[in-house]
Amino acid sequence: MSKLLKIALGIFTSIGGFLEVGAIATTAQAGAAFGFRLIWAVVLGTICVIFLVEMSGRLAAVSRHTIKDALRERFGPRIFLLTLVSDGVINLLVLAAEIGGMSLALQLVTGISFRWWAVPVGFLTWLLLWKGSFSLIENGVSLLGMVAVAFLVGAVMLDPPLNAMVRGAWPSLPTERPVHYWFTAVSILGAAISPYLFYFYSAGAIEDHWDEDEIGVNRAVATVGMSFGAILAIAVLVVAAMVFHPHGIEPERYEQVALLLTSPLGRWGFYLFAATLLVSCLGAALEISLATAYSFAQGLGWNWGEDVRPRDAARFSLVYTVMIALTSLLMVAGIDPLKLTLFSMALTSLTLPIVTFPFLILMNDRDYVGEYGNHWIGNLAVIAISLLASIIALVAIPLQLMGG
Amino acid sequence: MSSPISAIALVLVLSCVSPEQKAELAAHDLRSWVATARMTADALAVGTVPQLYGRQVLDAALESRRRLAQRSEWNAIAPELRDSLQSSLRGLALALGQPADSVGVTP
Repeated sequence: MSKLLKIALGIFTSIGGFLEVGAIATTAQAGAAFGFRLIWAVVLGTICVIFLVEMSGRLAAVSRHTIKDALRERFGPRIFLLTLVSDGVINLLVLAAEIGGMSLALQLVTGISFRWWAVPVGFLTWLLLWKGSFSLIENGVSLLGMVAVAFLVGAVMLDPPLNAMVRGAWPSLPTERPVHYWFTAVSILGAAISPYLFYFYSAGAIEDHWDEDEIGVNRAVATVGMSFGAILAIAVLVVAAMVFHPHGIEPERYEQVALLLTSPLGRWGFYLFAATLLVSCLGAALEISLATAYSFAQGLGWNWGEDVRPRDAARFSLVYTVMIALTSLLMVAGIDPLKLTLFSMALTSLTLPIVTFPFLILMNDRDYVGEYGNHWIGNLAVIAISLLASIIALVAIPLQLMGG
Repeated sequence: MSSPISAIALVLVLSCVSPEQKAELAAHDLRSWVATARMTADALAVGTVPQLYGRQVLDAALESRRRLAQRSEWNAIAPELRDSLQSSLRGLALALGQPADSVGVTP
């Protein structure tokens, strides 16, 4: 495959992969509640995730290590287990939210409760992992995620005020409801900087046999792909700011969010919203399930690989099977998918330093990355944004739970 | 970095959950459902959403009303706002071809 084609495909899959239930729910909430004022959180999260995704690809290309197996090797079992448990819990919650998102999309168009859909969509996700290849998951489902471009079309059709958007891209203090403002901000950061994204990316680089020659491709894909993905997330926020904010609608249920695209796109907008939710959640559910199975297998030295037959990587396959079964049952139990999404995204922000700090040490260790170590700007950006997100989450999550 | 974070924490703690704010948040939720019901009824009228979606919104709105009405802040919500919810729910029911009184009475 030519480099140009690799870059193009990588960018498309990054765009499709960026927008999932977390990004849709958090940006829709932000636009509805605060207009354009939280665009800065998407921008900040995107800067951080660009650095992290680029680093994870670079680590794999140079050292032939995924993040997890390098963590285990460099820091020993304790730090590895800490990151494994932290990621495992977060991924479980986020996967439940993605299964919930898919189920809700089907509820919207069929009228049958999402609780009835949780097991069938869980089964579909599992079947694709069991039978599908890595390229099907990496390219096929993510490319389908391009249906999310409907939000960009919708945002353009609504002709938003550019001045207000530019002002919103600059961080600002809240003028009302500070707890909700900061909780929404950290939820957006958590949705943008989802660790499963870069675990999946680094494992994918190993599955695709990357070497040093891919460093340029990696940088282009991480930068351009994630930036375009962020543009789609901002488009969701803009549509919510234009459609919901003036009416005072602040979605507490996904049923409300489904009205977003009907203003600019009419009846097509309703179905495009459901399709975007379904496909983007499916893509994310596949990536999260694989990322978690990769984490266990790579760190514990099991055989792994999406292109390996399940019987030859039994424990790897068992991890995603159990994850999907558990999260489908959580949704059958009737947990509110929107609240779960927002909470799990905020929790992701809280745990970011556990994941990013050891990773940064790896990326500055010459034994792993040789001459391709991090520039200080990347280190500083990731440390600052991870710490900021984590500290705000530490304060905002309890207050939000207390009813603030 | 610690001083801006401390300032944020202080603002958050000081601004946390007084009874008046809880009442305002409940009113906020209620206004949101009033607007949602109206927007859905309008969308049904012009055919931009299917009927089965309208029914889901009505069910969700009724469930939220029931949940809100069980909270202590409910009584602090202005009667006009509660009336407004009642009329928007009746409007949505009519747009769905259901009798207006099928939505019950807002307490």
